[in-house]
Amino acid sequence: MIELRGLTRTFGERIAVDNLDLRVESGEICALIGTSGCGKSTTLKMINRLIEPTAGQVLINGEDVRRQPPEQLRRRIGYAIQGVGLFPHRTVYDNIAAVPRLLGWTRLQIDDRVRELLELLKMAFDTFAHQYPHRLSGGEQQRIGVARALAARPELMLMDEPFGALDPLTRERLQGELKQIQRLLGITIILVTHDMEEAIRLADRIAVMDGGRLLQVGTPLELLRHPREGFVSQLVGGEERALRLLSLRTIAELMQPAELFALTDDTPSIAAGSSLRDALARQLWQRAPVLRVVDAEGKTCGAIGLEQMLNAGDGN
Amino acid sequence: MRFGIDRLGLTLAIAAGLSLLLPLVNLQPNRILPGSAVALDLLLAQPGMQLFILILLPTLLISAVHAHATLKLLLGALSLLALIYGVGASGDALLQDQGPFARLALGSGFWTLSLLLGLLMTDALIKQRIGALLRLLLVGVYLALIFALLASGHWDGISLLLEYHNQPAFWQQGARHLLLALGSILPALVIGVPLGIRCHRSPRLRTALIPLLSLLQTIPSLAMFGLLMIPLSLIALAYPALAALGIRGIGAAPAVIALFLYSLLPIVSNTAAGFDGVDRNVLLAARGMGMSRRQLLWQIELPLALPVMLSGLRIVVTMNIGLVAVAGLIGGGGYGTYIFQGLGQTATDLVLLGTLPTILLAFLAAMLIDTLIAMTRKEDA
Repeated sequence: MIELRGLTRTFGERIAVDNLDLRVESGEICALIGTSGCGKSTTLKMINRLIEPTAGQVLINGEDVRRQPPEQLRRRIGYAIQGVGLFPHRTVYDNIAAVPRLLGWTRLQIDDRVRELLELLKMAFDTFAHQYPHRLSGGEQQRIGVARALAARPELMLMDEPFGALDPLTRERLQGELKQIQRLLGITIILVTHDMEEAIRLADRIAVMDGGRLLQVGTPLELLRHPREGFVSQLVGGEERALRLLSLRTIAELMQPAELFALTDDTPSIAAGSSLRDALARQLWQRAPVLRVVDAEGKTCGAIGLEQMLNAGDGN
Repeated sequence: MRFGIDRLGLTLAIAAGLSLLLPLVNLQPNRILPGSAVALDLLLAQPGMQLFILILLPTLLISAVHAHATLKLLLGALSLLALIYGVGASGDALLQDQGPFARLALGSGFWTLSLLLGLLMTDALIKQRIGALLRLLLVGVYLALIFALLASGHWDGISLLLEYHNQPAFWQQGARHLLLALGSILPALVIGVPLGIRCHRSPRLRTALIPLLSLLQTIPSLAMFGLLMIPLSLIALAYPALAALGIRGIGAAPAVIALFLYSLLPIVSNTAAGFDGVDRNVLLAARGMGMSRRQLLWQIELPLALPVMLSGLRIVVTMNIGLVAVAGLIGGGGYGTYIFQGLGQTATDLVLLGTLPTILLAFLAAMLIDTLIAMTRKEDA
């Protein structure tokens, strides 16, 4: 569990972060969202002491981060940034091995860990391990950046707009992979972003910041349904909120028994695990008011019509 | 392979053809008196020169069209060797019936041809895109071949070699030349690199220091030697023990100090520029993963700044090898000694005996550092 208590940082006259209180539970992804200059990156950097707070404290599992030297603290915390910052003069292998080497792991341990991580990120060891970073695509570089951050098995990972520089397709794929990995490893992630879609897709809880202050914290659903007036409700989007809400819920939650509809062989089908947003898109695209819902084995397990959709996207 | 005219090659070929009209060698009655050009037809009667022309003609033809760079390189190299051999081998026949002090001096045609063939080879070498290490090796082997030709005795009638045989200390002077050049660079590195790193971290230090070092660079070398002579002489007078160590107004001390001062600017500014060039994201990531300042410096900043720092070193090494020649004037030793002796005696070939090795040393040192730079850049190029 990470606790920020009365965290404040000023740069000269300017207050970058203003008396911020936040609790992030172990094993959850918390997104810090806001426009640029709102203090979200500064907040992140105060957690691993890249910036020291003017006032307040950061507790990790109840222990003040200032109780240990910053270098030792940082080696226990994963850190991934937008620019990736892979070491250009070192191979992928040596990049991933950086923190384990700082921690004095044996060669065998390091070798096992690098192989394990490349496999986790679906990158073939023989193809990638001995490449230099400039030979990799942007998406591959960021994967290695994440692998490097995870190398020493941190319980906490800090990410500063890690996918900001990627094209939308790659970004979405990496977001999916990150979520899977996070669930698999059970680590805590604090993610800085300015992209509401990203926050909704990834985060268990979203903390909205503006002008150095925390405006609202809640699950994506809470935020979309009951955004505070002003900045937060602007950020979650006016009309778009409906679609965002749909994207948070699965078809399985809302589908009806198949017998209620006259399904034919021509009725398009969709997987039960897809989001309602996907279902709506399919309905519009194929001009089908009703979709057949199928389970993982491809068997019909229900159906969903436009009417159910209309009831799900109104914010209640 | 594309057929057609290679413009650069054609230009070189035409120029090389025309330079045959310049005197290749001059016949001098002795080492001081100016000689007269040996007529081309007389020269071409010599078998050694006939061999040279036989190789030169296809070389020029091939050089003028698009052809494989290896072929051009090989022909150019052969031509230059043949020229050196031909000129030397003609010596005995041309010097027959001449006085005992008569000698052959290399003429403008020889130097122009050598230069043009050198350009031809350089162009071919660049188009080959071979690795820096292999290139260094090739040049080394080729120079060894040329030296073998010079040492073979064929050139003993050429006045440059006669001057060489008059200078038993030639190689010691070479060692001294390098010692003076490198001896001033080492302290400049020890002081300049940390200063450069400081400049990178502190803009205030940089704005104060860089103009000062630039100012030092603008002082002409002779003036700098002169400026240093006075305080050094006074020190030598006051502390005879230091004078015994060689700290005197003339000699090596002012030369090394002046070269040290000249070396500071390229080393400091390139170190600072190299450190400036390190990607901020890389530094942020390195700090964020828990590297200490020392680890950051040795594992990240220095290796990434190294290519730029080395190109500063390259400037300094070539510059200093050239400047050491000036130190000959104040008794510093090195090849400059021959240059100034030669100027005093109006013996052109003694001047050349000082100049050519200086150029060669600078050229080789630059190539050596280029190879180092290529090796450090290998990973992120």
